[in-house]
Amino acid sequence: MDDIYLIAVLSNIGMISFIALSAYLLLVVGEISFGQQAFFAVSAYGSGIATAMWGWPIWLGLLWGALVAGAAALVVAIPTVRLRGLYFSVATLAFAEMVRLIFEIFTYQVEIEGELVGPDGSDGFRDIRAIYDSNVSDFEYLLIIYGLLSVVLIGFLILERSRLGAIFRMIGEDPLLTEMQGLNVNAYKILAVVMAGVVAGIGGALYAHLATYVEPKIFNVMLGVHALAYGLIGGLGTAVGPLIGVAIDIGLLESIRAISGYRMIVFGGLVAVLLIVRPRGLLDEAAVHWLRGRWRGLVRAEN
Amino acid sequence: MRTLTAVLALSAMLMASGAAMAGERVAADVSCTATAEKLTYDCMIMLKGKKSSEPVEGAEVVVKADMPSMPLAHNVRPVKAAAGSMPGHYTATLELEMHGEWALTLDVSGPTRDRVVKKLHFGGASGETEHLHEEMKDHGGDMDHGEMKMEESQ
Repeated sequence: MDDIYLIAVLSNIGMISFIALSAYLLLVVGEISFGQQAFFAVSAYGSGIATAMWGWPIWLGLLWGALVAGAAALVVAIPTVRLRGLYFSVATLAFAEMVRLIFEIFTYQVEIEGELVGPDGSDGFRDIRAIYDSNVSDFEYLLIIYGLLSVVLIGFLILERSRLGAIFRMIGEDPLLTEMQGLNVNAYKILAVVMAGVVAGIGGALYAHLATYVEPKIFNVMLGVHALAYGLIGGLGTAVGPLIGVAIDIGLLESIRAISGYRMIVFGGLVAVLLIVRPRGLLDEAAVHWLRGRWRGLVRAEN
Repeated sequence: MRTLTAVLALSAMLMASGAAMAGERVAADVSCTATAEKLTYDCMIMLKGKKSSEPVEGAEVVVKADMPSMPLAHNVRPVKAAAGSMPGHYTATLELEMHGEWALTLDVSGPTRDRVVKKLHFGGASGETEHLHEEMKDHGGDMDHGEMKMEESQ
């Protein structure tokens, strides 16, 4: 049982890391989104429909889920791109709630082998069994989750060292000055929102196929708030930051079983304290710069 | 980089593997009663074949619990259910972290392999009069949607 438990905790850490990275990307461009759970949801339903109802292979279902989430993000990005600060946050929250409420009434079912399969409004979407029916064990699925997470994380680390990454950070620092450099801030922000939607979508598709069951209630604002908090706890200096946030919440706090029932309270307190003492998280830009300097120093000393 | 390539290759192989489910789908009925210990519930699980209605005997049943309204937030330890006194009956003791609606995932293996998700509401202000109402949202089960069942503990 301990193995099953450990694999379940690690799987949860892996899947929620996607939505944490998604919220982090928007934090980098200076926007706070309370709505990343919407893209997680769209992909969970989209990929579930593709594999459970249309019979698509799992890899195509995951890809489809991510693309649908990216398309949904584009739909949000175009009208909201000119909004700043609180207005953007409220707009993303409103969109996410809208998506959740649509799934509360969304019914689309087909009969497969005598069973009705598909989303059934508030009753949720059952029998997303592509992974289960393929006899993929929980451990094997864990490897899939972390394989994809590694790809996304490496992508983020490459992005951080690229011109595009520098532009994203510039927009986060001062969009007006960025505009004065001749850069189209709105276009780059739309790109960031779509990329963030795709990343959240990968997590949503993975979640739906592990759980085999999703319902609208899963994608409430709590998931979005957590996603946001992970970046703010772990730090906005590097993409590793939000993963540290996830590890602290699920890993560290979960390991202290005495407080597990009160984890949300401890987590809320932790976010509040960190926002006061380290507004850009544990691994903020200054910490990352210092660590890189130390690393370079060590490498030079070795040579 | 080589490790990453190996992990990705394994992921691709696993994704490409074909379906191989054997046996009949399982219908499950779950009822839980509160114990003297806070947030601890004794659950009775009844499994039967979905089409044959024959009790599922000799199965290994692992029960996992998650809260739909707080996804990925609770990591309740999975519990292996013990065979009950009657055919197709299994018992498990769940230690939850809070009251509210929980989704119980029953992983059935042995004579047949299936996964059944049941949603239950664990509630009650005091440990003495815990009430449980089960929504018959049966993943692979045979109950009608909307049917309600109320059960009161000792």
